[in-house]
Amino acid sequence: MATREAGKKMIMLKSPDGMEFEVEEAVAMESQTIRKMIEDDCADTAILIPNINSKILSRVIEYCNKHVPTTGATGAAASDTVAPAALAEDLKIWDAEFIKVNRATRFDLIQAASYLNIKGLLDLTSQTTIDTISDNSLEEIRSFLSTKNDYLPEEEQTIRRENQWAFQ
Amino acid sequence: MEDLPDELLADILRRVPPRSLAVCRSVCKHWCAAVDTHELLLAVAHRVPCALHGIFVNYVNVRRSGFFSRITAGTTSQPSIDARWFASFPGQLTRHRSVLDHCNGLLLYENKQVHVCNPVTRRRATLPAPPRAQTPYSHLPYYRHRMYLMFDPTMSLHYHVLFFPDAPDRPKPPYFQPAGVSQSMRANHEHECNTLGVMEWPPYVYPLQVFSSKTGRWEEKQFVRQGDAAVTVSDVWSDGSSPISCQDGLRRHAVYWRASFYVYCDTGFIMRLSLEDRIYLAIKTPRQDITGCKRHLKTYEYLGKSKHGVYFTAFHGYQLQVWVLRDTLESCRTPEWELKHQVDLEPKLKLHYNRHFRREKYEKCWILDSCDEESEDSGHYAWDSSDDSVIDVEGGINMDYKDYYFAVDLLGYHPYKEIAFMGNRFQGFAYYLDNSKLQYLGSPYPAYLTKHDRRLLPMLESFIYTPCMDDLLPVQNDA
Repeated sequence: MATREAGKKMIMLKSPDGMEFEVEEAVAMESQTIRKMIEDDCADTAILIPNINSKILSRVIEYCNKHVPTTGATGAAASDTVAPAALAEDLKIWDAEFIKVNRATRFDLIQAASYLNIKGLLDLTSQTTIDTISDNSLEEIRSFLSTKNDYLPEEEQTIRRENQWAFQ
Repeated sequence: MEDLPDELLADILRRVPPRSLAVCRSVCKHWCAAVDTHELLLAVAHRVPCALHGIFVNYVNVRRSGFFSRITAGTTSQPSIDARWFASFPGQLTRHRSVLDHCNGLLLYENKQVHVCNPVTRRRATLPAPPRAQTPYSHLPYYRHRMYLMFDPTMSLHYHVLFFPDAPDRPKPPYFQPAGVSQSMRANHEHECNTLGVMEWPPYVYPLQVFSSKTGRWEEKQFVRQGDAAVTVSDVWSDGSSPISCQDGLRRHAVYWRASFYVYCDTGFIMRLSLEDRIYLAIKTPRQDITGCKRHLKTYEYLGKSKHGVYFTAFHGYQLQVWVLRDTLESCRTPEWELKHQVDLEPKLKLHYNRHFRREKYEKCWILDSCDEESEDSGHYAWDSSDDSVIDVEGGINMDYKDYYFAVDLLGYHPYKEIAFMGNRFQGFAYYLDNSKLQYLGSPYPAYLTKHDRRLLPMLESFIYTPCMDDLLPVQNDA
């Protein structure tokens, strides 16, 4: 199981619902959390990823696969022919497609990205939420992010008055 | 969002612009706690425009702007505006209208060139000359044109300067020649006037010169009109609001509110521009009820910002009328003006002047710093913010009141309380819209002008100043 292709070590990731994912070590090491486990030699056979179900884990792996820096013979050739700017642009478009998910999945991805410590994925998933908050009014924020208003009317009045300038 | 752990939520909120962050406190208790326990607002507090600090006033035919502000007793937690620093800029401010605009702590002013400065950080920048070739008045100084500043530190530390083209001028009549002006020349001129006169104003596609501090360049941006045109070019001519016909420059206030820019136009309308969408809307100013008013008096109009957004004010003699712009939900419809307040200030002003003529003592709490003149009446000012020295408007006698005309003009609104600041050549007042109280402030008019110069020039414009601690202006002062 350890090696399938020469020079490419494979790692087994297990989700709590029993699914197993075989990924290249380099891909798995996009996650700083897994990288640390591998470096500390606690990843001989398979790594159990708690709290992240197989659906989310597969998406995370999909992201890491796309974002792993291309190295080795084929990778070097690719980056010689394709300009880095074009590659970055390509990744951007891919990211935009990737993040087209529902709100619940997005929050699951945020949590997974945070637990696995994958900065790029965390930035990508939180940005959508940041944009929603930045571009909308209070009522819209509540409805788009389905947050329940648990203030009493007078409590809300007081809070709003504290930040009156923001509502002008 | 409830399921996100506190730390994660805080990490997300940390990256939200200050204004939205403050709104987030009102979303729910969990969010409020996340903002407060991580002191997120504290980290951006320096970017939030502070409370009202004073009012910059331009006077007709006076070279310097004055700064009319509250007298601060002892120490103050807010940095005080150094008007002297403002006056010490290289070269004297030589125009009637030195301050062109103010927006959230930054000033736009003209001194041969156009500058942007922050009186708090003492930083400033000189703008490259805007392209003026397309305006018919390119030889006129900038203060005769419409130039505005747009800056919202809670969204971005970059600022924009907007330069609005003026309506085309009426074609010049043919020169008188000894042989007389021929019929065809006259007909030509008339035809020219007619074709130009029926043009819509502003045009369907309105080109605007926009300077961005991000790029450091002027760029033409075209705005497409939504809805109907406001007026025609001949309306503008008959209104006499071209830069040529207004020697002193016009009162051309603008308001930046909720990502839209509102500009007062003289010909009975305001423009609302959305910079993101590159669209604009012409909104007619409210119809004023001047029945029973003295017809010979000029109506002073003012576009300002306060608690509920965009305010339009008309002052006709002592009659004050205030409207608030109400946004209709359907975005295709034009927002409407709602009459918010209407009052005859004469009785209240009479009371004040009666006391004044009886030489009763009343303390002033605001003072004018006209940059280079020490105020002559530097008495003791025992006023502080807790002392509400509102003039008692109940009772009083009018017998000493002489029928002088002391009509006041609006200086501006408190940024988030419904207080109108008003003044004339002698006195400045604060008028509380919610309880109709009138408070005496002090004189917003330079002492050297009232004492030595009997011409009594009117105040031209005023800008409510709210300091901002943060900007991207260059540190070094350019010569």
